[in-house]
Amino acid sequence: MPEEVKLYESPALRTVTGPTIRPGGLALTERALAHCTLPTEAAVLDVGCGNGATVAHLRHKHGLKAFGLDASGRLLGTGRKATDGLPLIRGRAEALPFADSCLAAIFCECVLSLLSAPQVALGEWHRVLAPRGYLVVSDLYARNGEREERPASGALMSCLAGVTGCRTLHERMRTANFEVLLFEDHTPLLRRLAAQLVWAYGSLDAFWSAVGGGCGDGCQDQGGRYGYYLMVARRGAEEHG
Amino acid sequence: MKSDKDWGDELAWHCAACDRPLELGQVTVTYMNNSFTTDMPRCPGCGRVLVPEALALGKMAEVEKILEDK
Repeated sequence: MPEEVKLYESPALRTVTGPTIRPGGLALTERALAHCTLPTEAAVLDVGCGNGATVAHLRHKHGLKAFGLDASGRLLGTGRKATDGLPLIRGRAEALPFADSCLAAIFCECVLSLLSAPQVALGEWHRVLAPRGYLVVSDLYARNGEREERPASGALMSCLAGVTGCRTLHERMRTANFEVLLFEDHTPLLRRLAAQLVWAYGSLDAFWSAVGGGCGDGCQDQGGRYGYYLMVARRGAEEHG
Repeated sequence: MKSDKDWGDELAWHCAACDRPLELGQVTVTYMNNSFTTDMPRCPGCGRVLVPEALALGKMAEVEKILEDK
């Protein structure tokens, strides 16, 4: 069985995106923070933190007590090497090692569509967020419908794995008792990243070769099927369940 | 990234205005508010850049297409 290729672990992608490994880098994080009221030292978690670039940014630039969680031991190892003492935890987005209602905000950037059980994860995030706590999500979405793609086992695991449309995203938020405060399209950032990849590697085909896997039809798509969004939501006032 | 050796043909050009041989130098290309930096043959005098046909019709065209969402 071929080894599973994880796009987000690929140095070929990081060479272009830098340590944040996502379209827009820290710019969207900053934009989201402008919509959140978070006191200094507030406890926040970056779910799918990768090498912890956002965790370091939240701690050093905003004075937040930021933690990071990721399933990739490889990326966490890179982060620990880069910044000593960064509180990075290996774990799953659907089972957070945090007590109920203890976090002021959760960040989940370019990760939600990768999760095999996004609705379970949203329920879990609701559990650990304080009442009225913030949920910041940025990710890809399907612009022309609600299709959800899941490559077969052994195929490239990328941000396209579980991409859904706006309607599904909003339904999932509502079901998990999150109130959406902001939903913005930032598709130009996705286009910019694709363009940067072509510029760096000569073509998207050459980029996928450098990553070490094929991507079906999804990433060859230049016809605008995929967009990128920023969402800021809050945990609903009433109790979950 | 192409080395000096790879740019042999283009580096044989001279700038018409300055009559100086082109040299490889870092160039920033901007399109639709997006900037891309690369090494290209340029005149060390006036800074004019030679965009090789293969680059213009290859990845530069692909980048344009992506940014224009076509």
